[in-house]
Amino acid sequence: MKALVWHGKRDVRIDRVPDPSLLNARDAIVKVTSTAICGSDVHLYDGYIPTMREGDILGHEFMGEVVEVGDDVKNLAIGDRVVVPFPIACGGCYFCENDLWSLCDNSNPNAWLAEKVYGQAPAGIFGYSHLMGGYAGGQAEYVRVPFADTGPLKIESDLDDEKVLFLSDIFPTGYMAAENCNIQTGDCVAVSGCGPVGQFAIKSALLLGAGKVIAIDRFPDRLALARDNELVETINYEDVDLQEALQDFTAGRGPDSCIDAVGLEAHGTGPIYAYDKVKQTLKLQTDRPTALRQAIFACRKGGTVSIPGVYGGFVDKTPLGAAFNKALTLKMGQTHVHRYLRPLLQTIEDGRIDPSFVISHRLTLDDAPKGYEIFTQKKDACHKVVMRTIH
Amino acid sequence: MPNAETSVASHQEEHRRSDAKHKHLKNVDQVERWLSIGLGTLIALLARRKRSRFSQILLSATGGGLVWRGVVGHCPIYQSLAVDSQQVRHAAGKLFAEPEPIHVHKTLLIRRPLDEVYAFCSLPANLQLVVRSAERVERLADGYQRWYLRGRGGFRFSCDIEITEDQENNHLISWRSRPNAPLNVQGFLSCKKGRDSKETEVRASLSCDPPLGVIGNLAARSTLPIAEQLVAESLRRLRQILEAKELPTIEGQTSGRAASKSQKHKNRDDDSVSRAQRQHNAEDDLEHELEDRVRRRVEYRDSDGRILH
Repeated sequence: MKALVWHGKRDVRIDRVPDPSLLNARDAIVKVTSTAICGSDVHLYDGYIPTMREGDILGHEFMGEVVEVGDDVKNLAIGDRVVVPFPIACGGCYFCENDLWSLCDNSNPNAWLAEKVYGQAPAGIFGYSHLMGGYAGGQAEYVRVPFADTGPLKIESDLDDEKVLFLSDIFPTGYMAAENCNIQTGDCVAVSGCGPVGQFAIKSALLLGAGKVIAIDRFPDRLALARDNELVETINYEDVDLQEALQDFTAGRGPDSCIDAVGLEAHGTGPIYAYDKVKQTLKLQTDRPTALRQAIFACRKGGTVSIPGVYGGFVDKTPLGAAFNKALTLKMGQTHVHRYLRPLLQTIEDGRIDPSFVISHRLTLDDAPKGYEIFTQKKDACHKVVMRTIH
Repeated sequence: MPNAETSVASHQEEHRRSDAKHKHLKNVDQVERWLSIGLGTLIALLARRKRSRFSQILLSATGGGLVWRGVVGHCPIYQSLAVDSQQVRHAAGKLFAEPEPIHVHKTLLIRRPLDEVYAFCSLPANLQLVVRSAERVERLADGYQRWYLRGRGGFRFSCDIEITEDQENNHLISWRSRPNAPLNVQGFLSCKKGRDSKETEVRASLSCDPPLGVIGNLAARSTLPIAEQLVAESLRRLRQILEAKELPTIEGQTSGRAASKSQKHKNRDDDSVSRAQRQHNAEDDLEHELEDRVRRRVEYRDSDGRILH
């Protein structure tokens, strides 16, 4: 089969590799019909996530058709159309039982390695480094899905792939980011980063009752995409002083909640950004927390900072003193996608949201390396790349 | 006016504090102190031979400093680096001291009821699945079990153990190696109710008396992290089998590495042989063997020897 293979920093290629096979009784093989490039794939592409190995297959946003099931998979049949959540979860551990699926105790075969880095191991993730289990990803023609009796969501309606594909990651991720803000009717929510997750966080905040959403980015096309609702204001942080603008929008109180939908490769301005770049280049820190610092600084006293943007290691100069003295609540983590699959599918089926609004580029799997290039460099007003596989 | 008893107590307390302070300041080992005095004296004497006034002062100061360091037993550089050579020597001394038993303990919560966990653990065939390095277990005529293990680098060895206690009431299983075995190993696995009836707390312990005196002690202590890893990994596998009913694996999965190693790409769409035929194709034997091996490893049995699903 063809698959997108990681060969090193900024070097991904479509290679022919052996087809996947069932390795456990709870596995299924899915013939991928649609797959997408996620903003967090860019961290792998740019070489910021450790424990990648040459030859790893990328991709954790995908859906397709079941072509083979293991002996213990009773809820799926060959021919079923499924969306697969990006975290892999066993369904039987303490965390799965408590709806904390991305913290599954049993799905990461390299738990010992993750424990050394994080203290405890999070769940395995498709195509997201050996720290997260080393599973082959879904930017391929076929993919092996472990614990297939727990994760995949059957799509029984005739909704197009483009409308349901993002249930695998970015829609639930944006939704959980907004839900973590504990939004009260009329609240003001600031969202840093208007990439796909930021866009879904904005939509979700409005679904959850926010009275005003402030979208922050530096790309006019992304801000324009966010500004499709009269309740959304936008700030281009390259044009104004961000902190002053946020205080102005909220009459000096600060946003009730701030969402950092940027993560470890944040862009910024001024000497602090240069300092972060130098430290990251010299491997003295792994992540650039520019958006996180801004969120903590801007958020109103007693507010919530929610972090759906991915962080992998260590950050420097994080204003914990501000977070402490303003009594902020910080909420974060990989998305518990399984928790949101059915409710969010319902919102799509009800027509309350059409997730395909974020797609800017439609390619085939063969064009995946080009997709990575334009998405990473934000060329051609690229917001989201979706790739169809041709079987 | 304080009485005599109070005065003595006060004096003793002051003396104790002074001792503690003095002791706290010492961070240079006794042997190193003598070396420091000797070296300092040598450098100070060397200073007299130097013509340059600057060199004389520099060497005298260095030598004097080393002598002072040796006499008082305190080194400000060590203090700033939080180093105490007395402790370093003590730690090094332990490695070469008479062997002391090594103990490893780990505890884990498993989201299964106590009776189920204990029933599983009481069968050696099940525990064989839990210990990654175990290849097979044989029951010997004299009541011992022979465990065939594979260590790092494929090194194979066996170990005979006997179950010394299997207390169903206390949910405790203890075991030890043969009394005259080259490596004296013992351990236990105990289960108790966790925070609720759905949860069991499992504690595993491994103890070992290092053989071969000082050399064995050195070897055993240097491999302690491996033993800790072995116990932690075994408990994790126990939890995976009981909670997830299988061991998560990526062994044998496809990748770009597999592609570069083998030119034989089995492709679903290109293959003209039907899927049913392909499953019986000899070319797939290796793949099936792998699948079977993984599946076999996660089958576990109840007390009647039936496979549980």
